[in-house]
Amino acid sequence: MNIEKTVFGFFVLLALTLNYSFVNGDIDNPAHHNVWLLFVAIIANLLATGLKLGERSQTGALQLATAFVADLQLFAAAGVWTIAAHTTEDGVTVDVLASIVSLANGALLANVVSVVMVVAETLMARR
Amino acid sequence: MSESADIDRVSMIVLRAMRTPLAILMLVYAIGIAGFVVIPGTSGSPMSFMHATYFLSYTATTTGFGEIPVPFSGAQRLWAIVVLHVSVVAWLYSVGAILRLVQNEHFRRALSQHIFARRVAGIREPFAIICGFGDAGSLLARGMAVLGIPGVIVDNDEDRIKALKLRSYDVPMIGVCADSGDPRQLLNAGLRNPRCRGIVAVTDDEQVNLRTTVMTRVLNTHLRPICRVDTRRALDELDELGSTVVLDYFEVFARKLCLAFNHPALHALEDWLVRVPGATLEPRTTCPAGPWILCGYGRLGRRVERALKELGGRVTVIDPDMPEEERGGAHIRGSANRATLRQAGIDEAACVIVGTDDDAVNLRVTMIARELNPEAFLAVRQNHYANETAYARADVDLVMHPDRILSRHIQLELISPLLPALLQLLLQRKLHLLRRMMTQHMLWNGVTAILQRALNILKAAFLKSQPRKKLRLRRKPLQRKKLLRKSLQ
Repeated sequence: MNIEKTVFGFFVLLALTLNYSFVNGDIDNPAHHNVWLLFVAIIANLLATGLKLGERSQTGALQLATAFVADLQLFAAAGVWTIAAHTTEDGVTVDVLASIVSLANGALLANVVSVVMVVAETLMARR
Repeated sequence: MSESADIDRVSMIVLRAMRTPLAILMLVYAIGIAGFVVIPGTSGSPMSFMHATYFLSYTATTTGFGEIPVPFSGAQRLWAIVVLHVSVVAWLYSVGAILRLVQNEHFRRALSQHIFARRVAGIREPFAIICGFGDAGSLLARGMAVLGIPGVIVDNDEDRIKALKLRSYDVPMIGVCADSGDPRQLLNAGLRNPRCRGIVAVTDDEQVNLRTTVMTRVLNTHLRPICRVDTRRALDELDELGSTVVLDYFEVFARKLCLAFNHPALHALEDWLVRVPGATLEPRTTCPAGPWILCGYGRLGRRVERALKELGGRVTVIDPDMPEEERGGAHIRGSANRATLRQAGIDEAACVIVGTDDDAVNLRVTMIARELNPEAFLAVRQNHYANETAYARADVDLVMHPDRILSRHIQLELISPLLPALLQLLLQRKLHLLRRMMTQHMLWNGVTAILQRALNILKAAFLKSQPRKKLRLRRKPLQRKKLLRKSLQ
């Protein structure tokens, strides 16, 4: 049992699951999308990105790329939320919420790719 | 292995080492923000995420605007105490760790080597690689800059490369601190670059030179490396290897000395070919083949004695470390002072050659010798370029600096490999061979080089751009009237 691989897998999967739990539900229902979930999803994604830094292999490079994509999308979602909440008069309307959740969905896809790569690498390594 | 493998590897290590500082920073921020989003403020409700992030940002970076937008409640202030201390420490630690990593010695060296390789690949003219930037290397670099040949310089000593960066040349002279016997460094220096026209190994260490030569022959079969050796064994080994120009440091000096004595016209021609455009061909008077006194019997002294004996004439050698078995009439043991010089017969000597490896000793002996015999021809060996000003003022007839002689010989080779052969043929008066080679167009390079020099001189005279350089191996015609009369007989 390799502690390093466990930690790595843990954080990658955590990023995916938290991201998914944020986006799950009706896209226009604010009750289904808790801001805390977005917050921890961002934290988990950043930690996962940190773990992917400094990999020399081809898969490592692609992993880092997916991590950056997910970070970008989640930061965009958080940015939209912050700007809507603090600078506009209406605050977070349904339209804005829809944009936020769409961006988070994009990050979800990147996280899915990343997890698929981790699983594939693990299965191939066993052979 | 690609040339950028080193920089890749080190960058990856640096990035990997950055993980911990970045993770700590993120966690501290996350927990701080989370705390502020939970703890209620004075109005009963906690801050929003944005305000919490705002507070954390200016707290961790020690900016400290204050309790914005409204003063904190007690609970918030309690949490703020924790956040203040932990976040500042985490920030300082992370930034410090990242800066230390970027300044990491291996990273910087890999980066500088990568930049060096890129610069070398960007040279647009034919260039030469110089391994070793001591006296010989730096004189060679100066000579090459005058000829307009860019150079790539490899030396293992950091200080010498720094000295290189402080000098200014008309052509790019790119230096790197690396071991020139390492094939990767040689490849970085452009050994397989089609524009590389030669490589010169002139470090002080013979082993390094040998390594460089062998690596060059393996990596690039089209180049003829020019290698300086100090021992007979190395000379034989490299001669066996073939397709290498091997220069025995001391032998070159001894031959050049005899050339200066015996064939001053040829000596002048050889010097003229490698000097600054605009220099004139200066004729010289010979030193008579009279009795010689040689001070210093090291590796150089032995070769000089052998070469002088070939010319004919008596040679007396003075050396403090003369081995017992060689002591005889012509070999005097002792330091070169008035007593030993008189014993060697300085009053009748036509020529005194001072060739020890210590500049102070050389200058001291020349002063004494000049006092004892003002008419004798004084030739002295200069060891370090740093003592140039002293030798320039010394009252001697011929100053020979082995490194300078070596670098001039190498310059001849670089201008055209056939020039030394041409001069050798002229020396041996093998004019029939000369004619045959010319009809076979083999010496065309040598002739065109000479013509090019002549053209440069004409061009310089027309433009009046170059100052006349003082001749290093010089005569003082006004004081040597006696010798002049003797040689004209």
